[in-house]
Amino acid sequence: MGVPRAFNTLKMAGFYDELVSPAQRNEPVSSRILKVLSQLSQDELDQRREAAELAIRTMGISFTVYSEGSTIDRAWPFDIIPRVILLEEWQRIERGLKQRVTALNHFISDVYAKQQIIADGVFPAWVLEKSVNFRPECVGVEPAFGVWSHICGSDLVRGKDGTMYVLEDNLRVPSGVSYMLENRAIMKRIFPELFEHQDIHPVGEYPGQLHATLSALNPNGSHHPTIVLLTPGIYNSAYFEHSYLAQQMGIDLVEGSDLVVQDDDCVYMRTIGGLQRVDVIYRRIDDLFLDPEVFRPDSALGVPGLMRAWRAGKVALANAPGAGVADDKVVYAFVPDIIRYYLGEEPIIPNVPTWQCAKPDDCDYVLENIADLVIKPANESGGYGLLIGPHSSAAQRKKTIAQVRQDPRNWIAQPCLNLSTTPTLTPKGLAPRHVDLRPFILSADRQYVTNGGLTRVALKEGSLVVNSSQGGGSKDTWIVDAHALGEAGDRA
Amino acid sequence: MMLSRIAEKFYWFGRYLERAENTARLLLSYSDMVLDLPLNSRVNWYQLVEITGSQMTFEQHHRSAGENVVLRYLIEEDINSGSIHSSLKFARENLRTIRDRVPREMVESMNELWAYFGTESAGSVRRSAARMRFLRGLIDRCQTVRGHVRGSMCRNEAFYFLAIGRMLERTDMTTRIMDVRVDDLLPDEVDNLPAFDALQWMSVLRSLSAYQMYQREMHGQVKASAVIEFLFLNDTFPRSVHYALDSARSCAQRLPRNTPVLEALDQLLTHVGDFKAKLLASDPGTLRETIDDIQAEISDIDRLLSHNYFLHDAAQNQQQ
Repeated sequence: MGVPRAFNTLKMAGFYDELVSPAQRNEPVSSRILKVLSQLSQDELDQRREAAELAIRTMGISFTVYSEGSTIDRAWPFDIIPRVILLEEWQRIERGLKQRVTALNHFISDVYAKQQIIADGVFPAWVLEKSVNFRPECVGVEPAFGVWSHICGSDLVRGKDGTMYVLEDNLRVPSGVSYMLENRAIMKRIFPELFEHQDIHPVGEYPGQLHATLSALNPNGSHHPTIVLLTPGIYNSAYFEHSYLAQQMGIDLVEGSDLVVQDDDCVYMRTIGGLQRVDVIYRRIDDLFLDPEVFRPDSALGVPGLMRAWRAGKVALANAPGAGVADDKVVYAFVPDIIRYYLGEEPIIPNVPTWQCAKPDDCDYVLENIADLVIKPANESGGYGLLIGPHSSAAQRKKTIAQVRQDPRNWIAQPCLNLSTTPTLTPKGLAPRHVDLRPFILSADRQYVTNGGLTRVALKEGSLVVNSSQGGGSKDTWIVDAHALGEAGDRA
Repeated sequence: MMLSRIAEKFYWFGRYLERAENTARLLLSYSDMVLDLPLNSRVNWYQLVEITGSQMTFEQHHRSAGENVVLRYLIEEDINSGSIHSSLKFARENLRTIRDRVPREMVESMNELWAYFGTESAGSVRRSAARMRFLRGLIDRCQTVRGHVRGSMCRNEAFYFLAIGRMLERTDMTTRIMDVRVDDLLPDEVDNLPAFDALQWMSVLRSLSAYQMYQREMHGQVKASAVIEFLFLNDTFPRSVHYALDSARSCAQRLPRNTPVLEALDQLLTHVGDFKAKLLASDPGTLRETIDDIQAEISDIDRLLSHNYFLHDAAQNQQQ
């Protein structure tokens, strides 16, 4: 059976579609999904969408956006059409992600120790000197297993030839995993029939894996370490996730004011029974707010003395302070070299080709071709400060050109990728929308990669921006084993 | 051991949810009782403001105390920190911090309760039929949230703090509801007729879902002294003052460093145990004083809990 004809219109010319394009490889899986979808009228699809929206409101799945100085809770925007990746492709991606994070952790360890990679001429010293995320306070610290980024979220995108690229790594406090878990819970509620006939890899083991990763970091040898999740509080945009993960792991969700570092350099939390020792902190606060004694003195979110306790080895911090040194967009361009240098392997997942404005030739090229490129500042996230050449106005380009000229080292450029699409439910029926993918990689004594990750989708027609703060939504992501489909494709 | 900050949130969540439900009960029974009064009665809706102890705020914002004004004030208005809307809002704010420690179904039922209030409250003020349906629905939904607490929460410190909050709030509101005095609602010619006296106390019982239980336990006619005895001293009815305080005491018994809290609760229980129901029934002045005393002692216990369990280094003030 082929793909139903109506669904050929779901593909946009010049773009790779996650469901429809890989017709040969994907066929048994996509045709099943398309068959179920094609049996539903627009009204029925709308009813499922409404059921999903109701579930999201009832489950209280929200995210917080900042608007004119105040915060608003919004229901999580979710699209009911899943995004599908075949198991055999995923297994290769999983190996590539483990390879990448392993190399990046080697790099961070090296940067805070001997800096051999600079001595060997593979990595330029100026990048480090200019890095806003290099923390001199971390020099000489040796976290367990040589791991600094215990929880990494890497963003993957697919180009028009079907190649999957790493777009960026988030090594500090990546967020989104709770939405990956909730998206699956919603899908199973509203589309149980899609799960009945195929092997979709489950995602629910993540909280247990995260707990095991954090437990492995316990520096104090106690059998049941006290692990806490440190949040900036209920007004943080990711608070829903902090709360969700703490609940799923059965650990305490603490704020800075709940913790205190005593003269013995140990961290304690204030409880109804008095002070209690804390062994591992999964912190969801940025480096600069962690400890007012060391970083921003005006920060009320952190814990005075926390860096002292960490440096003394009395408490483990995940992710380690300073891990962000390896995720700015200038370092990104060097990651393939970093992988070759530390592991002696070729990168399994390629980088997006990147021009570094720090190099005069690259910079000239970027300034001449700015209308065709995506220009990014090195140290911003969430899509802030970004210029998408083809969608920009002359005035916007002029402003960015001036910024690049003023500080070329802070800028990189990449080709405008024809970001892949996947069918998405719109008010006018199914239509292709652009997606990316954020898998999460855990590292401590061993590594774990989520089955899939969070697929983010740009809900506006033609838009390439997938961030939830800027009109993006998300989808359930399915890793499907096409070979596991039986004759009838049903479970026995 | 539970974080102090979290314990405080559980305590206040318990209080606010109970407050929302009890306020709904009070308004429901009052609206119900009004229907039984003679047609020419002058209904004193302002009395509801007095029972909830929020006269000052009311007078700052309202010139008249008609039915609609009072009900809107007690149901919807945010200027009244004890309105049902405010109570639910504060309950939600506290829940937001502790949602990772309670059953998911409880959070969902709380969201459902909030959505119900949002869609149904506006139409509830003007028409008594809609109002009573709304209040019953609200009480049911509060009970659903509580059902998830009772049915699915571990009996740990979180549960105990929530329960202590609920029981102290319940004691406070049960005594307030007993303070309902309808004497001045009645036209002179029917004043002191036994039928209307019984009516008043039946209303009190109904507002606490106590009518059937009272009949089974106390047998027969509804009389002031028997109602007062039942609602103060009965040790099997869960909304009686004695039962609520005793429950709070058994929860406090499971907490660390509980000596001062237990002492204070024991003192209040002894105080309540000494009541002479007959005497109180015959003397409204003494009844009111006694109720004021109990409320003052509850405030003391509240302060004691704050001091013993909740205070961080920087003193915090939770809005009451």
